Amino acid sequence: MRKSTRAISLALVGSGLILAGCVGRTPDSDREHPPETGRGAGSSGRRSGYYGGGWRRYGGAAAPRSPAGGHEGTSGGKGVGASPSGGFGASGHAAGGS
Amino acid sequence: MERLIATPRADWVRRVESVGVHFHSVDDGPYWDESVCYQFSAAEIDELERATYALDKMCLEAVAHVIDNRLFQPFCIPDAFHDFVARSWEADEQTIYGRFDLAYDGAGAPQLLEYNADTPTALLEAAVVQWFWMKDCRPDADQFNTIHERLIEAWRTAAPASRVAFVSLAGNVEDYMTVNYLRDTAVQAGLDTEYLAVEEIRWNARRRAFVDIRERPMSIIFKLYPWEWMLADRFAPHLLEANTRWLEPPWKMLLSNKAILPVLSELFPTSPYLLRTAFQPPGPSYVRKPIQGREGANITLVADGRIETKTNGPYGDQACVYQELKPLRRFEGNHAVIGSWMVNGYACGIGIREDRGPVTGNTSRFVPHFFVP
Repeated sequence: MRKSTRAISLALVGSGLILAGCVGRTPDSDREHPPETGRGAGSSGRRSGYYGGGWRRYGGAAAPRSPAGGHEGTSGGKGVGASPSGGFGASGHAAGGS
Repeated sequence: MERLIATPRADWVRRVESVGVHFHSVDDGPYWDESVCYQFSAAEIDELERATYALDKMCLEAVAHVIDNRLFQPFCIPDAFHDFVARSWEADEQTIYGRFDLAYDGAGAPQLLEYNADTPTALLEAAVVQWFWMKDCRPDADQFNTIHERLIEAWRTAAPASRVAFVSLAGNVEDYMTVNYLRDTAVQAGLDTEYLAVEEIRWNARRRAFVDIRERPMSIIFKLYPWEWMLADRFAPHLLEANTRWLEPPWKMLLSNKAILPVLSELFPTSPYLLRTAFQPPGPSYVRKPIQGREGANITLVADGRIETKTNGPYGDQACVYQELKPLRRFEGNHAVIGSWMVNGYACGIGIREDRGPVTGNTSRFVPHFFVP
């Protein structure tokens, strides 16, 4: 009996639009953006990480980080942008995967 | 288990980028490395599958043991969240995936080094990139890899007819593509999805709900962001009052914590799949690991009382576990670790990471595999 997938198709991954959604992200932007002039989608390189004793430079394109530390209001919910963000993601780490 | 020299496809960069792996290279060479590959026998693959199921079963029993006996202290989980974890377990909240990192030499039993139960990556590489590599380069062979279809199945049961938000840290292409691959499988399962950076999650105090940037309540969130960081973030108290269901679920924070390893050792002392692990050194040879360390950081290998390897990192002040030293088999000077995937309760595939050094880190090369049916 085979132990591998018979066929793989991808709906999102691999599309230029998805990568542009990362490279072109700005704080509070929503999802995928069309590629912006001068921001190539063809990044390469793997993120920094601990290896052999020190942080290595991530050689690829990276999205701008959203600013953490937005203040936490008490009366949110009055419309778009009313609720505070920035309460998660303030760890200072470069990546969350393992 | 053999390491073979292979000829990379002439257009390998284009091929791997076409499926989203734009992080295929590091500063001084490839991360995705198809200049070599590993060949297994069918019996070896069966053994890896058997070990993965056995480890998963033991891990679930260990979680039940910790929760039933309120043994949270060694895990350094804040007191306020003990019930949060327990409720998630008692509600049987579904898990999507996890990756066991195994030492395996093709002869003895595979043995657990650690369980990346919360935020495992190298998923797109294992599920998709190496599958296309096999189709191109070893079309007559087979591969232990049904990860993709198991993920689609998982979403159908985990979140039927729901909107799921996928989040990761802003600014990291690898995390972003990994999360969007998972999102891709959710879309194929018929789910409504969105992506946002974890920093963009908002707290609506009036609704007592996490909301997205359009102020829509987020009922289900898949996060590629570790639980231990969430519990330290400013929004942590809101976790206790929101109705959001999280993937991976809170109970997985017990399994992604290396404090689970001594529990496993204690509960299953004769298992061939476990290395003896304790909170004190078991003897003159051991591997010291921070309980919430990541990516090979702050690992110390001690052999006969002498430090052989020590890696740097930010986890040096954490509590540690001490694991029996199990030297990895070397293949032409390279150490190989098997990442064995559990998806939706199925052992469904492996990926291999290779490194010149004995500690697998973030930039250790991903190498494809196949087996002869």
